[in-house]
Amino acid sequence: MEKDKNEKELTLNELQELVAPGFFEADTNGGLSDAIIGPLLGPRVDN
Amino acid sequence: MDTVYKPIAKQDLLIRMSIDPCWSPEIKDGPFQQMVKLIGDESLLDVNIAALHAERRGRWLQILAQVKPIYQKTFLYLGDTEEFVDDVIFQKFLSSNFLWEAEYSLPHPLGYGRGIEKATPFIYFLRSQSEVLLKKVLELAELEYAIFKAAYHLPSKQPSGMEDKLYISPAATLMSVKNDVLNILEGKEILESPSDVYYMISPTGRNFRLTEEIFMFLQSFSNGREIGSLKERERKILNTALGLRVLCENPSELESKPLKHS
Repeated sequence: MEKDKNEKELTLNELQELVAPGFFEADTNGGLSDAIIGPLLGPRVDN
Repeated sequence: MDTVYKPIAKQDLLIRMSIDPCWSPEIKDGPFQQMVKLIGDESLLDVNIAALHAERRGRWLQILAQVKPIYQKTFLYLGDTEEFVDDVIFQKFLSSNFLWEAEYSLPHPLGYGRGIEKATPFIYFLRSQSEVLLKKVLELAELEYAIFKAAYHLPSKQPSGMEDKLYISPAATLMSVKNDVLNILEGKEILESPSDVYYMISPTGRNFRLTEEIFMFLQSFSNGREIGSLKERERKILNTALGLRVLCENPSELESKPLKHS
């Protein structure tokens, strides 16, 4: 059972790297930089 | 028709006075003077106007300093800070309900509540100014806002499965535009497009152009949708959207967690 869960997690993580046909990634260098978003948020807690 | 005011706390009145140009104390029978009469405390009219104006301008610049980095490219069209702080558009923003009502703001991810970030009030305000702003400027602002919203809350570590009803994550944005403004963020000029262009802004920091077919398919999850039986191609699209945290099982995942005080 535990093995199945691990396998599923690995597959889903891999999916974040792979995109289906029809998705064209933009070259925007990611989202807002920490220098901009950081002061708005304060110390962040990873969820 | 005259506005009918309800009494507000002195603290709220003083904050409003120190930012909103329409609530300046020297405006005869303006909102500030009417509120002072309503509260019944004439001592509030004893204001050093010159000092207030200096202080108020500093607060305007602080608000602008928070908004401008989020809308960096949009401000290439709106104008420089020194000009824009006195521009009629920014002055209207300072008096707009979008700035003053906390509901036009995202909940802070650490539980400090709404009303802290100013990017959301600003986009609501810009939308209300569509008659005076170029379409491409509004579309660019929408794109920059979507990127801000995606960055404001960390994506969940684990993607949702396909067992339950799925929704578009509140941190993600699907949008269609007439002008391919994403080009500007890619360092190119806006390309005129004969038809609509479709974007997906994901909470993982990865952003995409989409085909119309994929855009329409993902849009169908706006109000929640059971998965049901899927074609192989639809399954691949859903896997991508789940992996990029654009779809999720819990549409209220942006609600902040209550603060714990020790």
